[in-house]
Amino acid sequence: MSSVSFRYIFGIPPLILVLLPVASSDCEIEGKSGEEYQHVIMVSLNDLDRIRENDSNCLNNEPNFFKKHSCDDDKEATFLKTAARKLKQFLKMNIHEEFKLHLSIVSQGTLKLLNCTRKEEKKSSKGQKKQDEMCFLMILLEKIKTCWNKILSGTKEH
Amino acid sequence: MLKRPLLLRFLLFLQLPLLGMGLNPTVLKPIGNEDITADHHFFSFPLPLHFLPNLEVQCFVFNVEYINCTWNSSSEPQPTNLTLHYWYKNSGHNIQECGHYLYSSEITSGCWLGKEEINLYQTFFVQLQDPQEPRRKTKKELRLQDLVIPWAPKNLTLHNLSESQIELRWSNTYLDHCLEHLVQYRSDRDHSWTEQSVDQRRSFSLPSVDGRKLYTFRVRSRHNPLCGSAQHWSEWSHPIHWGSHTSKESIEPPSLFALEAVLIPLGSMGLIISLICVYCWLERTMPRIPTLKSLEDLVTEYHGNFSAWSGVSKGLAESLQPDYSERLCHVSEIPPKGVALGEGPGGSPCSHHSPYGAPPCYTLKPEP
Repeated sequence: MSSVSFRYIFGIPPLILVLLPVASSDCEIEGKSGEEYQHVIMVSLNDLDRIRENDSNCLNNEPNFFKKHSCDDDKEATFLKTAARKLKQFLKMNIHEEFKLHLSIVSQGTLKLLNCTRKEEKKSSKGQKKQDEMCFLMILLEKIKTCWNKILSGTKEH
Repeated sequence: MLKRPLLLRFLLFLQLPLLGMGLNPTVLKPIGNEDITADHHFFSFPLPLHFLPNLEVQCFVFNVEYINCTWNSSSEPQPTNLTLHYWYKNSGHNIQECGHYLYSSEITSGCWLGKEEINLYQTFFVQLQDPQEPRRKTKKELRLQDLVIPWAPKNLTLHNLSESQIELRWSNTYLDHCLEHLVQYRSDRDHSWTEQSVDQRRSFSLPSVDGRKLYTFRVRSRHNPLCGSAQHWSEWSHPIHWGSHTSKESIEPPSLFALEAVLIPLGSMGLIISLICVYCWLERTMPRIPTLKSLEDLVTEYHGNFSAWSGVSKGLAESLQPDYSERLCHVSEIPPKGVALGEGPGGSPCSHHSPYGAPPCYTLKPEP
């Protein structure tokens, strides 16, 4: 019995301590002045907004992705990294070249600005209805912009 | 004996959440297309069978100090006290009713939310509902970071950078790096404002100014683009002036104004009065031009007395009398040769009173 309690009490906490670095962000968000965002990423986000303005036939339902990933306090960088990687999947869609270019700028620009060190495995996606993918993409871009606004304001939500 | 394993298991369960923090769900669970699959809101609204189509609720975040949501109840055919509920998307659907309504004509027309209710970067939902008919409602989804309206800039000051260059500075009560600014300036000789956009810096310099002109500056701010994409600007700041009052629009001294206010009216009245007096004098002194109608009066009333009838005064009539006399001189033709000079049969006696000597008088003798 004492060996069991010894394992539970003294074995698991060190394991947690080892795994804690995994929980911390490998990206940098502190000290961002916003110039790179304003002159590069924001320009492409606004152009994407302008291009997709006429296409707003989306239902007001939130995809599951955003239930798992959100720009909460202390998770902004993690969310942006995930969202930027997700954007890359849409580069394979059959969409206008100008649209793809701006998507690429937002995705690559975000990752470069965050200077994330860890690389993740690429995930492949099955085919979905184009309209669903476009609606998801629009929501994703909106969330990315909001998260950047939050980071650059330097405020914490309560 | 059984309690100890239970206690140990309880400790283990407590530690599992800590263990879960270190695990990235993206590693354990592959992200598939189920992420794109739509999921209905927990508190989703059915397709509205009765809604408030003409009602538009507008919300603005004033300097991130409070939110004002307003609607126009009078647009409804039967205005009622509508209720407002609000919540944030990730707040566990913690729906709250407005705690501070605004009224217009004793009917709810808005809602005031304090600073503690503001989460700029979470999706904000607001719903208007008719409490008497709960199925009549309208819902709106808002991005509060795009609805921020900061207070107007203040503490405007001007500084001389050089002889001809001045710098305008101001301050804002909200986060400086979140705001962009618009500066307007003009001189007293300009008819319109000149505009200049300014980024997050709180200063603007004008490289070349004319010291003889009077300049006016004003500034307004907007929550854009780093921390939000707001479209509405703040109010204009109080204007600030620089320069000299040497223009034509300079203010007159009060004594000159009073002088002009007195002299001009008095002078005008005097001129009019003098003109009236002259007219009256002329009316009295100048005779009337007789009309044809009054010619009868000359005979019947005035018995031929022309001066009395015409209205000419006696003195004026006498003055018009000639005061000189002249000798009459009869003139006849010069007779041809042979005609003796002498008194002619029909000739009138020659007057010998002419200062030039007696004029020759000629008579016509008949020919033999």
